[in-house]
Amino acid sequence: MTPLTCAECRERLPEYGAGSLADHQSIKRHLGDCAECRREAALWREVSSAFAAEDTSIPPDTSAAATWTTVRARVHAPGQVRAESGRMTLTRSSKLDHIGAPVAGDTSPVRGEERPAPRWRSYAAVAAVLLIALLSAAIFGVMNGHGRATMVTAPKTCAPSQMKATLPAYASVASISMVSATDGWAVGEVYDHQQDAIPPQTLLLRFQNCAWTPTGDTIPTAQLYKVAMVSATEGWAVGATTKRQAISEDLNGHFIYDWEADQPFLLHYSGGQWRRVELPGVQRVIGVLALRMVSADEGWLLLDHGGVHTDPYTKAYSYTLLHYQHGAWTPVPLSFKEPTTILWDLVATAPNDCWIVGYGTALSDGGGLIAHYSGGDWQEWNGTIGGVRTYTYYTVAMTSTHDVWAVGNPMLHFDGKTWTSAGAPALSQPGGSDLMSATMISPTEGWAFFSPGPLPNRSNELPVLHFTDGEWQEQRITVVSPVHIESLSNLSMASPTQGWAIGAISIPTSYGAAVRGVLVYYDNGAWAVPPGQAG
Amino acid sequence: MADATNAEELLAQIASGDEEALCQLYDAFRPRLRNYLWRQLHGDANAVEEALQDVFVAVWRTAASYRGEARVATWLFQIARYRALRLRHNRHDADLDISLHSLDEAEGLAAVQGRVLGDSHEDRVLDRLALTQALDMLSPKHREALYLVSRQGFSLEETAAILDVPVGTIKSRMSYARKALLAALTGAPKEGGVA
Repeated sequence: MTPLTCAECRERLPEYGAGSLADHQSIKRHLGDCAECRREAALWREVSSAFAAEDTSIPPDTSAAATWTTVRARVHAPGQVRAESGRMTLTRSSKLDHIGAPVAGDTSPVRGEERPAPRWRSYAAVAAVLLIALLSAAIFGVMNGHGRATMVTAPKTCAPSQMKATLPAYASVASISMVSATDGWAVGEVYDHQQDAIPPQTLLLRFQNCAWTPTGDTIPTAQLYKVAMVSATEGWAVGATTKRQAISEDLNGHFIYDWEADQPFLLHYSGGQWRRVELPGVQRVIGVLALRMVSADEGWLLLDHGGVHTDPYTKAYSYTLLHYQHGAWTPVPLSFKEPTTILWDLVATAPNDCWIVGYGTALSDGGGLIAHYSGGDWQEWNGTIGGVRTYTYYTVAMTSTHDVWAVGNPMLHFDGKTWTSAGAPALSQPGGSDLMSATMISPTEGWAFFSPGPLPNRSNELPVLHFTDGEWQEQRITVVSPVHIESLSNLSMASPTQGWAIGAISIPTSYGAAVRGVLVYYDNGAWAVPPGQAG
Repeated sequence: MADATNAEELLAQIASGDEEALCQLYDAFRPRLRNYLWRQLHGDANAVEEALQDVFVAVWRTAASYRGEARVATWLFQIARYRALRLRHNRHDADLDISLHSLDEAEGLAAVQGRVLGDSHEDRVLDRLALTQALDMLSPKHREALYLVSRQGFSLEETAAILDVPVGTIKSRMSYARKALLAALTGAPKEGGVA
């Protein structure tokens, strides 16, 4: 055997010092002859010991049993799907009754034992402040023709191969709203994760003539979350200003900053112009969950203020629901909500009618949550709904008030009178993912998409659920893309067979991976990322 | 501690729906994963438990897709790291406080400069303190690579798989860490740049 050089030896000394090197005879021989490498071997042994000493400062493990109980409950939750021989199979467990531990939200840690008494804050004072007349404070931008519906004549029909996107570098799309096969809007942000001193700015894209292009109108130090068009001439978008916050440190030990949401604001598209509309009195948000317009005169906005610990094991989450009517956004009390309830999505298609889904996180209110607002009153379902034990709901989709899908674990359908899981098989959650986004194209067809899996996707194949022939079926779709797509979301249909969705791609940053949204074209079952989004 | 063969057997049993096997794997790997996640999540106990839950739920759901291309431990740490990253960057916690590493590099270097590894008990205690300070001064990425190799016993190749980088990058990080540690302990200047 050829003796090792010092360089070869030193390369393996860290493993040798940790005692994990399987073939260490050649190292030992070299150390016998080389005092310099022996000193370095001592260093690596000390490093190993120093880490071991550091680990002793970690508090004693007292949660092993409690966490195992929750793991056990989660793996037995109905609708869990397990990978088997390269394909996903549906399982429906009946063991839950034997577990002895109620199951709370799917992703939350240890739960509190008692549900706090309802103490959702009174909205009276907030309402006084939030009776928001439309404050068309500033003209956000003039669309120079491409924003004017009256200018769109003889729209060009596009073949899939003609689709393209001319996006600025570091653009990330967050939401899409198609008006027709030839007209649509998308919003998001432009932000370079490697240049964290430079704030994000809003991204506003228009789809016309087979191409997505930025309008040129931006708001600095802000990002847009959602867009909801009512027609070619009327629509809304919602965003938030951002503020810089230290989140980690870089390779040299310097702080890394990120820009987090702060004050929300709206953009109103009318008369061919986007105008900024402030939301005075609304507290800081950490995100926007939903913006849904029913008509030019009515819409809903659900804002997320995040959670705060009320004790080491319990968090209270707060949200603001705004209802647009009579030209003003006014708050609607979420009277059904417990402090520990997490809300995720809202959908609305009819006047004075909306649906919200989420789940409880306390042991006493654990399980899926569905709330229906109708004419000023809330009706709530949670836990066991329609005879089915529910767990988590992250999204809701509907085509009418007689066709509502609570999408999650398990999938439930509302026919206008009752919730039922009949005809909706248990849904898969491959790799620990959850169903996070769904779009019903019609009462007979819909798509549901999972969150990214536990590991980076190494192919352009994605598991999805497709509602067709009266049932949800698992499919693996291929996204034609130059980059790996981690997940899909936010499918907005432009016609019965064509639409646009957002694909999440993972981009490396100095602190790990971040997600960026790209535009994905959907054409009758085929999915593709059009060129022009490489930045 | 489950050895490699035993862990693979457990995973096969989990793939066939054996909950007891999952429990054994949990017992075997929880301490190591908890220590690792404790560092990754800056000591946020709730987040650590949440990540641990997610890891073993993901194992249950995807055990059949394990192809044996990596050791079970490597696979588990891959999942744990990815869950930790997602928790750190996607959480909806308005109040989650990240305790940031704040040791000033120059000050820290000055504090430990001049130390060399000695032989007496006192020297060794001082050396340990100096080494701990030197380790603290490494960037998170270098420290993470060093921790996985030196404390968790992963090979350079396995560490590369866990961190999802080429093995050459791990070698560079180890080389940089070595130089930084030697510089801190002996006062010698660091060579080269950051990997």
